[in-house]
Amino acid sequence: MVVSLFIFNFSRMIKLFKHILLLLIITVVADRLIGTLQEYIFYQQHHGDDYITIQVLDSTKAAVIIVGSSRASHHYISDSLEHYLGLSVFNGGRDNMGIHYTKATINEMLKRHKPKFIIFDVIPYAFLNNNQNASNYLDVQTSVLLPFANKHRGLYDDIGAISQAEVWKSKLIKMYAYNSLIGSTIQNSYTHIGHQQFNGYEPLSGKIDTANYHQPLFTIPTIKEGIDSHAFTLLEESLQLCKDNGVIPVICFSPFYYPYHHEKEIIQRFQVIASSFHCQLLDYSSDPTFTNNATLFYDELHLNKDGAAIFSKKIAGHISMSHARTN
Amino acid sequence: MIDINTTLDLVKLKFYNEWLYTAHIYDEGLSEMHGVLTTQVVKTYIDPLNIPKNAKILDLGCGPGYFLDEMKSREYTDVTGVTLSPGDIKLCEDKGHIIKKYDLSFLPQKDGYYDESVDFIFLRHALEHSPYPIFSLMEYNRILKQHGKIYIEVPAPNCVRKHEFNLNHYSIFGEQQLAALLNRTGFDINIFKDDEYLVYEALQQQSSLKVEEINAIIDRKNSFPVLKRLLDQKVIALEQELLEKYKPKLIRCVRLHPNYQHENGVTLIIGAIAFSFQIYGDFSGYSDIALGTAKLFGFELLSNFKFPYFSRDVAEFWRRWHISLSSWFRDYLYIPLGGSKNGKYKAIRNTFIIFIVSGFWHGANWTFIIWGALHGFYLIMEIVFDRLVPSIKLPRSIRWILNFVLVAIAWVFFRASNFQTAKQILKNIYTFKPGPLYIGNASYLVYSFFAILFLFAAEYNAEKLNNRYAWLYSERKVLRWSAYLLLILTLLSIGVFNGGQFIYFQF
Repeated sequence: MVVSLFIFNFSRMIKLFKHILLLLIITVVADRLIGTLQEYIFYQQHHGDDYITIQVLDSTKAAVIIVGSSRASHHYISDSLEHYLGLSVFNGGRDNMGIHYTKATINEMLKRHKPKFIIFDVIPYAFLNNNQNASNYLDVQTSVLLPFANKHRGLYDDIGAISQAEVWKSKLIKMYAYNSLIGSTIQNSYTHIGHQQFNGYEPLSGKIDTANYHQPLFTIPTIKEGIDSHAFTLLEESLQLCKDNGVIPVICFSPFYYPYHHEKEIIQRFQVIASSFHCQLLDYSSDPTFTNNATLFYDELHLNKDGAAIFSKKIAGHISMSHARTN
Repeated sequence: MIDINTTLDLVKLKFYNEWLYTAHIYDEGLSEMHGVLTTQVVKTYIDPLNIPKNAKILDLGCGPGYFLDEMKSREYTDVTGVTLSPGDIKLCEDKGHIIKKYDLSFLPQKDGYYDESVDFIFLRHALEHSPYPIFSLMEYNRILKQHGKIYIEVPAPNCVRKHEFNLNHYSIFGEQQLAALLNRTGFDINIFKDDEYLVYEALQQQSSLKVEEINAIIDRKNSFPVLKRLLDQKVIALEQELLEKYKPKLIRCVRLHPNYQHENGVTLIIGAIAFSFQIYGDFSGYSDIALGTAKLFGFELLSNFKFPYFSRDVAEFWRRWHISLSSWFRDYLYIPLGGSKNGKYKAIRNTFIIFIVSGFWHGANWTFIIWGALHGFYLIMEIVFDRLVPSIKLPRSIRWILNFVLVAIAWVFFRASNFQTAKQILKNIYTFKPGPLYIGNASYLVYSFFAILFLFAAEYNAEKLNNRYAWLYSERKVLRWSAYLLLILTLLSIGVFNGGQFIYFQF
C-alpha cells in the first residue's frame, strides 16, 4: 500500500515536473518575445525621462551637457544657455538621479561623444551617509539604467557595483529590465502626453504660495552621520573621465528656496576635489537673488521657469568666463 | 566699415556688464566667528595706530558692523559703514551706526568724499569682492589724507579654505600681486601678512585642522615657531571648545512630500483614493504572504481581511479590516473595559478608547492618533444616528460610497507625515481647485486603475460569485496553467522585485 502510494505520488510528481518544465519553456520563450518587443518600443520614445537618457547615451552631440537630478532638469534652460554661450547645450538632468547614474551615463556617453563642458549639478547633502532612503535611492538609479544595459554593456559594471543580483536578473529575464515601463514607453513613443521638454530642460510653472508655506517641512541630513565616501569616489571618477577625455567639468550647487548653509566639512571635500581636478565649483545654494524669493521657485528645491531663466543667465556668465579663459 | 575687433570688444564689455549686473549682493549676516576675529584685529592692529577719536573713518564692506561696534565702544565719533547689502544695512542701522549704500569702488564726492578727506579705511575681507580692485584702490588712495591709513585683509588663495572657489570673490590675490597692486596705486605697505594671525584664523574656522594642514596654510618656513607659540598660548586647546561653539546651529530642512501645496483638488482626491487601495493591497498582501507561508507548513491561519471596501458602514469595515488586531482589542481592551454592558455612554467611551489606542499602536505620532480618533468618531456617529433616526435607511450604494469617503479621509491623516500636511491636503481637496487630473507619470495612473479594477473584480468574484471565475483554481488544466503563465508574465512585467516596500512592515 505504501509502495503503491509512493509509485502513485512519483508518477504524479514526474507529471508535475513535466508541466513545470513546459511552463518554464513557454515562459522563457514568451519572455524573450515580449522583452524584445518592449525593447523596440522603449527606443522609440520621443519624450519623457528615458528619452533624456537615450539622448545622452546615443544621440546628443551638444558641446555642453548638464547632468544631475530633477534640479538639473528644471534649472538649466538649454536654449537660454545656448544663446548666451554660443554653444549647443543639452540638459541631461533626470528626476531622482544621483552621482551613481551620472557617472554611469557619462562614462558611456564619452565613448561616443566628447562635449566641451559637462556641468554637474549636485546636491551637497546627497553626499552624506544618511541621505533619505539612501538604499532606495540607489535602487532607483540602478533600475533606471537596466533597460539601457543590453545596448550599453558597460552599464552592467555600474549596476553590478550596486547589485550583482540585478545584473543576473536582467540577463536572465529579458522583460525584467522593462518592468513597469510598458505604460510609459507606449505613452512616450506613440503619444505626446507628458511633460514638455526643450533640449532636456523641463520647465515648471507656478510659484510657492507663501500664505501656506512658511517653513521647511523636513530636516535634511547633517554631517553627523558621516560623509558618503563612495559618492565622492564616483564624483572623482566622473571628473577623471572628463579629464581623460578633454572635457571641462563644472560642479554647481544650484539655488534652494531656504538658505542652505553647507557644513564646511562637506564643502571642503568638494573644494578639494574641484581643486585637484582644476574644476570650477559654483555655489548658488544661498544666492540671495533666489533664496526666499517665492516668485522664482516652484517648491523648496526647484526653480520655476522664471527662476531658471535668471539662473541660466548667471551660470552662462560663469561658464563663458571660463570658456574665454580656455580659449 | 565695421571694425570687427572693436565690435567684439563692445560685445564683451556688454556681456561683462550684464554679468556684473547679476553679480551677488548678499547679506553677510551675523557670524560669531567674524565678530571674534574683528575684535582680535582691532586690538592687534588698529588700537596701536592711535587714531584720533574724531578721525573720519570708513568701514568698507562693513557686513553686520563688527568693526563699527568696536569703534563705537572706543568712542570714535565719525565712523561710517559702507555696504550694498539690505540685510546688513538694517542690522547696522538697528545698532545706531551710520551706513551708506555705496559700491565698494565708487565713493561719491557729492556726499563729502572729496580727495584726501578720510583718515582711516578699514577693509577686512572686502577687496576680493571688487571686480575692479585697481580702481577700488585708486579710489581709496584718492580719498585718504596724506599719512592716512588703510587696513586691508584678504583671504589667502591656495589654502584649505579654498577662497578662490567662492563665487563672490571676483579678485583673488596672491601676496606678490597684492603688493604690486598696492604699490601701483600709491600705497606704502606696513603690514602685509601675519602668520600667527593666519593660523589663529585658520583655527577659528577649522577647529579640526591637523598640524600638517596648518602648515599648508601658513608660510612653511615660519610654521613651526608659530605653531609652537600658539600651542604655548593654548590656542590649540581651544579646538574642542570651538568645535562646539561654531557647530552650525541652523535648522536646515528640505521637503520630502514634494508638491502637495501645488496639487489641485482632483489630483489629491485621486491620491487619497489610490492610497486607500495601496494600503489595503500592501497590508492584505503582506498578510496573504504570512497565510500562504503558514499553509506550506500545514498551518491554517485566520484571514486578516475580508473585502473591507465592500463595507457599508464603519462598524462593518472594522469587522473586515485587520481582523486579528480588531479581535485582540475587542477581547483584551474593549470587553475588560466593560464593553457595551454598562450603558450607552460607557460603550461610547470604550469604543473611543480602543480606536485611540489603535491609532497609538501604529505609532507615536499625532497623525495616527487622529486617524484612530476619526474612526472612533465615525462609529459613535453611526450609533447616534441609528438611535436618533432609526427610520432613515440610506440606499446600499450610497452607504457604500459614504463609508469609502469617510475611510479615505481618515487615511489622509494616516499617510501624511504631520498634521499640517494632512490639513493642507484636505483643504486643497475641499477647495476643489481645478487642475490636471494627475501630476506625474500618467502610466502609473493607468496601472493603478486597472489594478484596482482587477482587485474589485477578484473580490466580487470571491464574495458574491463564490470564486466562479477563479482560473487559478479551475478544473480545466489549460485554463489553470494559462492562468499560471499569465500570472508569471504579469509579475515579470509589473511586479516589484526589490524588497522593503511594504508600508505595514513598519508597524
